[in-house]
Amino acid sequence: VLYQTAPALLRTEETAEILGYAMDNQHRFSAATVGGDSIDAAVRRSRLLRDLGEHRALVESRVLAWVPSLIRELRLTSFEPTSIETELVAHEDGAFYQRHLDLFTGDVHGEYPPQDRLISIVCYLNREPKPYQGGELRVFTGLDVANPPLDQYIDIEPRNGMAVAFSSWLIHEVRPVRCPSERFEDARFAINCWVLRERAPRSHGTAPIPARH
Amino acid sequence: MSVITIPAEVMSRQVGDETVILHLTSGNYFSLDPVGTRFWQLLTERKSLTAAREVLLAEYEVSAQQLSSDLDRLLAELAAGGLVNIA
Repeated sequence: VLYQTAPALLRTEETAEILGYAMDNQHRFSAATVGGDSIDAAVRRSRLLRDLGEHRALVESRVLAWVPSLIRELRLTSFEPTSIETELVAHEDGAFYQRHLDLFTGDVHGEYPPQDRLISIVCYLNREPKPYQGGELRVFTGLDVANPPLDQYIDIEPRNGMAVAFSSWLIHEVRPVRCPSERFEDARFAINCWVLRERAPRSHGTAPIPARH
Repeated sequence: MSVITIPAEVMSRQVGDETVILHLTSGNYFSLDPVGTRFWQLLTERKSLTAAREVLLAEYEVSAQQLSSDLDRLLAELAAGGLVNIA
């Protein structure tokens, strides 16, 4: 199983509250970054807000409750989450995110102790009726982590309140969004969540060799 | 007798009857076919190499000599990538 969905991780009234929060905080959204903190509009075009305000606790609790089932169903190595990372993203007209994976390998900068993203969860939010087209989540199904066959994929259509979860090292992309009104409130909103685990100290005897990608 | 352990920084995910293993620190990864996947599953259950070999001998039509040779080669590749520790 490559991914799991929760048809209503957030209820309609909850998504409406969070969309209201996004509208109230529109001025705080900033250009989304790639690979940590650089902006590259050729790779990722969207705006994000890392502060979910009072909604963070709700999202975090729903995600944490889902994790044991996800580890089992996605057949991941079992682990104990150490924290949840979240961000609220607006994909407006013309926005996209090219093929990527969410995991940073190698040295992890920033927080100490370093943590790895192990599960990615995207929960979609939009006004009804859905005011945009496109924006599907495309997950590549090939086994090759770095170079999956580009003709093997599954497209998942976003629906308000629905969440999709997958291993953070699954290659995926966000298809271009078309939003005819070009209004912020009609964008494809999503809460991106990552289930983190504190990175273990390097084991004795491992000899890191160059990755095959 | 060799003891095989999986380092904490190694994660795996199963796709169908195959498995991809990733070393989080180095970014090194490895794909396993269905038989390798079964062997990996036994390792994650903390089976010893001897016990895992016995299970595989019972489950697959393979000679003990061939299986030992295949497992030795697989373990050497995994160890070279830091994906298992052999003590």
